Amino acid sequence: MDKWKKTLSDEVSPEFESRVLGNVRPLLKENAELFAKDSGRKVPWLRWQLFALPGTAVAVLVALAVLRLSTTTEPPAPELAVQLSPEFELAMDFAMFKDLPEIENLDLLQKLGDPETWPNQAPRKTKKAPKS
Amino acid sequence: MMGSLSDDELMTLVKQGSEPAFTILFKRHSSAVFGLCMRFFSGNRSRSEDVSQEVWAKVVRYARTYEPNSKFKAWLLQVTRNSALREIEKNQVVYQMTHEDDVDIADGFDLEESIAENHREAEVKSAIDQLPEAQRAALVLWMSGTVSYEEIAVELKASVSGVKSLLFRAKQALVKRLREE
Repeated sequence: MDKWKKTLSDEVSPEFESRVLGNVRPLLKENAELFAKDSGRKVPWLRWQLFALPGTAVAVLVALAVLRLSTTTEPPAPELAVQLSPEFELAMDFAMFKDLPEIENLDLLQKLGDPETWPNQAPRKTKKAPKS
Repeated sequence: MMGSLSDDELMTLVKQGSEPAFTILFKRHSSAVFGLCMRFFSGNRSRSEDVSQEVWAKVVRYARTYEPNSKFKAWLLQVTRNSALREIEKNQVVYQMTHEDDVDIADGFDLEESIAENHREAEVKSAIDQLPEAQRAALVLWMSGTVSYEEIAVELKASVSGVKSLLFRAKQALVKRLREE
């Protein structure tokens, strides 16, 4: 039978070969795309987990860090060691306002009134009368 | 490197879209496919090329469903036979058998040996191409591989005894022609 088969074969021309290759090229491309799609579907669940696990861990750590930063309260400011005198505080108030050009305007300064009467102003300490 | 791969391994690569793998498969088997078509179509090169091209397109299309079983060539020739027969069917060639055609093949008929030893390949091909279509189709199917009489009968829409008769007469005609040459 092998000898029979030999009589069946015929050589193809190079032109025919290139014609066939040109014809099947789009089909091969189609196969490649389908194969890639199939391979994507067949990735085992565990393999996805292996990729996802480090990413998830990092995301959780970052989220915890952000949460911690947002809830942390600022440390209380240390108490002033020196008790400022009312006069010094008053002088400081004026010195601060003096930096602003509007403050130089006398009218505005008058409108602002006496710093003693400004709201949220800590009550002035009164000097104790010297002991007689 | 790829040339050392088996047909089945190459088909796996074709499934993935590899053009080099396909090219190797084509170079390995294009002569067998084309030659089979040539015998089916009496040496008509144009028709044989058209059907061969269709066969190779089917190879790529069917690659995804192809099951590697070390029988790629048998599968390929099956695809070729079917494609050629479909093409012949388009031209409405019907292999109708009469009762007078029912002749059994004589035992010890060794045409294969005598042809292979005494005649050149081209002469045999030419003689096959000159056979009547029904005889030629039966002979080519029988020559192309491990196809049973029953399978040939199904393909040619004939009875098994009719197929045997066709083969017997085809071989007789071949011997006669080759002796004359």
